[in-house]
Amino acid sequence: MKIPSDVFLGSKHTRMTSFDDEQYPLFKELAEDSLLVEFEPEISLETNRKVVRLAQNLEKEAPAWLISFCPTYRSLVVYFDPFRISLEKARETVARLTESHAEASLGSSRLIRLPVVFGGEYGPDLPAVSAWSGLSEDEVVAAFCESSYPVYFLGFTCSLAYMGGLPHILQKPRLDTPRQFVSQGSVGFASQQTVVLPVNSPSGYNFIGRCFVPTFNPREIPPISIHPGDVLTFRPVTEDEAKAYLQSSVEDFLEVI
Amino acid sequence: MKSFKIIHPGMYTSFQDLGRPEVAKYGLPASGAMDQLSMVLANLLVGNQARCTVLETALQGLRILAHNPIQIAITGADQNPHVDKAPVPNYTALTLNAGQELFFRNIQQGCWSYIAFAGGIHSTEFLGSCSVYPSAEMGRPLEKGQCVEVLEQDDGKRRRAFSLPISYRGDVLDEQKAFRVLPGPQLDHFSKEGIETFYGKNYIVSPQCNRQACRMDGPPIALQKEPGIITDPTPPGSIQVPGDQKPIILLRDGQVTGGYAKIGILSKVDLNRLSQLRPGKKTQFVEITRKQAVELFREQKRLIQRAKSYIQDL
Repeated sequence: MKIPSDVFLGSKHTRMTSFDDEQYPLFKELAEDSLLVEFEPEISLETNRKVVRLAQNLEKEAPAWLISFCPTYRSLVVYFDPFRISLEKARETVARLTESHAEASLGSSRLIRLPVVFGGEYGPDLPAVSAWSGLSEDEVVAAFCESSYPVYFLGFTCSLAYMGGLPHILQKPRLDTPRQFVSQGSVGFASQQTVVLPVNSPSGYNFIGRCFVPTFNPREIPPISIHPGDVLTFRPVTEDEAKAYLQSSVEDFLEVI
Repeated sequence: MKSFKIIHPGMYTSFQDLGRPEVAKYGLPASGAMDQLSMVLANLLVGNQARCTVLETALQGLRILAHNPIQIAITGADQNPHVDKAPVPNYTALTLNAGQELFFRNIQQGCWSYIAFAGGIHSTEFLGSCSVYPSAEMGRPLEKGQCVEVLEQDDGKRRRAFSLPISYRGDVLDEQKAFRVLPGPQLDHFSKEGIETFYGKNYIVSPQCNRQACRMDGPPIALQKEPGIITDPTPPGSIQVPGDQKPIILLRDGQVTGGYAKIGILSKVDLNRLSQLRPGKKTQFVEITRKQAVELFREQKRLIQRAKSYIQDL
């Protein structure tokens, strides 16, 4: 399955200088206990892979002074104990673990194919997305399932996987009034971002289906079973089949690339 | 087994400790006590490890009934605590006898109070911390009628009450001093005028405040680029400025990534202090360097050491 290169084309993110003026990666002091690593200011798989690679290297090396880190689209924060290591020494190690542009590789990427029941009570926004896009509901589901969704990072408040890959025709903006409660496992999108909710939460996204495969458990480490670098695809199933997967786990849905 | 009952949970009461900073890599906030200095001092007063689970309670109204004699200490905000209708002092190791009720009558100063129980209290651990974080299904605030187990071994020793002198309590209730901020990573989004406004004018804590964020009212902060950025990490204390140009300060339960430009990051010591500001309170911000912030953080550590020594030498 083709994994699309996901370049953000919006006019919103004007840069003061072009890429050539800055030498990326940049290492910036942030707060007392944090260091920020910035790569090229764009949303692209190529740049995100450098972030994911650095995160994987930090996880592997696990220096004693490392508290944690948080990768995002094109930057990563390193949290360290400032009384165990200086900013300069931390920066040295992080720079070593950051590969140059030429060396950034795909690393180990998982392809996960999740079963989703679309529409009806599980897809409250499917009619609205259909109306907005001009496609029938079946065509919306088909267009959604045709694409693949690379996970850029985990963030927000609940290990939410930020995924690209949503076809342009489905990029409906978020709801004017967010819902106070959306069920765990709900599958939806807004503008360029696609989500599968790890927990029940408020949300202003457009939800078209539900996946009953659990992805989050706060009693386990890691609590989330979707990781940056994963690529998700979705296949439509019946309600009965979808619910049969309540006891399964994400690892049951890995595909060999 | 020793225990107490929640007769009334007050405005908002939850189990907190020093949180789970290691889970940033899973896209989860560290959570933990809003005012970590006061939380640690409460634990030291009752002879607990610094990171023992405590009750954190907001503003007023918490009422608990002791089923057995338990030793406690209250720090942070002054909620005018009473034991069976008699006022009791904050920052003091006290004994609650069986059948006595502790009541937080009304807020006098600050916002969040901490109650530490000698020996600790039983609470569910999630990812290495007992800090309640309902947004990711890690526990819930305490409810009326809930019983909490106290882990103290009863050695029958009667401990005398003692207080922690004011010089060991830190500055968390000092509302007058400016709040010290490190420069944010997206300063280029703000005009010179905007930065001067942020550091020169007063901002007021709005009613839209909780453990996730503190929204502030005040003069709009002028931007020279649009406020949206490619979503990046937001450490606790991040000061975002969205389209309405009013600052939002992310707190302990706040989101770990965000798409708004950050004008600054509140220093760690002042994150404790800012959380003690109630809605309606005025602030002013002042810029400091990271080096200065680290030194303030180091001073706070020394203060905790001095308090520990003072208590041990009693």
